[in-house]
Amino acid sequence: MSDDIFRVLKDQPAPAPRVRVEDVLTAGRAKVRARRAGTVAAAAAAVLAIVAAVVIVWSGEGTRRTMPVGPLPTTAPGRTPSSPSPAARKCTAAQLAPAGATRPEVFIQGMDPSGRYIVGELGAQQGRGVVLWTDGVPRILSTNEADEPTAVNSSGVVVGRRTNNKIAVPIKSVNGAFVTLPMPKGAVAATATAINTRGDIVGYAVFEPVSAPGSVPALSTGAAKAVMWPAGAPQTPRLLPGGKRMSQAFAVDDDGTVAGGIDDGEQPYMWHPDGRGEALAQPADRPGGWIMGIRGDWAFGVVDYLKDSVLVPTVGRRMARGLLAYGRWNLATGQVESLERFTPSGLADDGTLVGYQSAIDGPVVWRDGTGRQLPGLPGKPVGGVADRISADGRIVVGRLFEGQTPVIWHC
Amino acid sequence: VSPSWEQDFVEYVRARIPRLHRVAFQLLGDGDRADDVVQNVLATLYRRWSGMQGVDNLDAYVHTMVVHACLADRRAPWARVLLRDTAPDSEARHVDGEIEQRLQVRAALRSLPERQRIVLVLRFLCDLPVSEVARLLNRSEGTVKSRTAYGLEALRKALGAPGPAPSSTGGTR
Repeated sequence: MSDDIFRVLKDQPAPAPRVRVEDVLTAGRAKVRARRAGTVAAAAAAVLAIVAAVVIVWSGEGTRRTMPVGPLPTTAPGRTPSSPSPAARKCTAAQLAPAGATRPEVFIQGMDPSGRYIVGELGAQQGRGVVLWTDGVPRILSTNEADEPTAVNSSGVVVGRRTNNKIAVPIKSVNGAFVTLPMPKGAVAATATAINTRGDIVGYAVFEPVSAPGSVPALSTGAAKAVMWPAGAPQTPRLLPGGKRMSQAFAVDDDGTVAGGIDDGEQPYMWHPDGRGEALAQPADRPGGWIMGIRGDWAFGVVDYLKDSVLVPTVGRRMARGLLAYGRWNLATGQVESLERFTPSGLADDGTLVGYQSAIDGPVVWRDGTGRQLPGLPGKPVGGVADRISADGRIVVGRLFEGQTPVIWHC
Repeated sequence: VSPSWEQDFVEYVRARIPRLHRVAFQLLGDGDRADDVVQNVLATLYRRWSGMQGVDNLDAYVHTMVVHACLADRRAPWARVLLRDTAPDSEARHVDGEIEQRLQVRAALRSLPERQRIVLVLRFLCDLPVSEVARLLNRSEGTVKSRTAYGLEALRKALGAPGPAPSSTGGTR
């Protein structure tokens, strides 16, 4: 009986491996070198620098990616760092206090720019729910497994969504409990994706009618529109125009600039505070994508999405095929650069990114094309991911894969 | 000239890449990510190679590394992005054609609690016996069997197929 269910997957021809023994050797030797370098340099710096050589080797044959479009200034215009850059500072790791459960498993979903508030989603082993750390002290915000946080601001306000029967509604925390946000007129589902310091909330709403018999209006994006719940008028959600078919907002900066994408992943897009829309640059020959985060003159997100996705005719929208490619935008110059084998998830004022680098299976601070591995906790393998970084680059939060242990790094 | 231990390593690895890749592909549902995971695991194996002489069952050990790396990969940021915030809709709605069927079964699999999903994938997509799955996950055979039963039930429910009524003990969450 189970064979019937799985047959369709088993019949799928497995793609031929593209792993070459030569690449394994190169990567293995690099790991040995990194380990030795780490041992020798540990006293001098806890931060283990993985030099660009590794990345260059990895982006050779067997990689789909091509190199970035044009150089970028090494620092944002007008900013002169007075202290060493965050990437160069020594960082120390500490486990975030577990939220009253025996297992610490948490997925970090947001940190405010000051680094004071951190929001995470409890793992399934703990029955799910939402935890908010304030100055390192955890508090359970919700034990409703339908609640998913997406962001927190410098006042400790958490936003996200609550999904019941596949229908999501936007939520925000008020005095330590979640309340739902009003949906735009005619919307069947919506989610909040980001909140800025003054409390502007953005996200997107779905207007798709229920068409197929028996189907439910999932939080799909076939007919999504980007939405803002302005801080001054939170009960009056405002649609952000843009795109031929659809738009989505995933980020909002403190000046009210909103960023996301339009037309089912075809074009990264930004809405200026005055409401004017702007299509953002795309790497040559690598169209498609959307913005995931924005901070001052910098933004990051997905690039090359048209190649990494396939239009499924009967479903009527694009579906990702596998690994996505990412880029960083300098909004001051309008340029975008591709990130090689690096998955960003957080951004500091000066354009420093944090995320995951597959070549070292580790949490990294990424700057000027180089990822520096963050240290692990004593007795745990360093494999993990850095999820968010404070505006000044001094606080990074993430998790180690072992036990999904939440970690805070002070740099 | 590369040292002889390195030649041993190359010989060992070359013969096993296809099978390891197949396991990773079934767990991840994606060839590129399987490539990344297998390469990374084997690079780690390279670093540990000198200590591998004393390992009783090297194949089982490496197999375990790949499964664990796949589980970690599933939790990596892009896995969540793929499931949640991408433009695409992960709920395949029309059962029409092979691609859509696959997408639907994959979507149903993804909707299961991870502990059930992993057991189903290892048992039915990787064709591993209960005893091997139990060893890989460091759980008892009884646990693997019960997760299999709950998982199949949940999967049928997710696919809208007829199945036994949900038991009062429910799932694992």
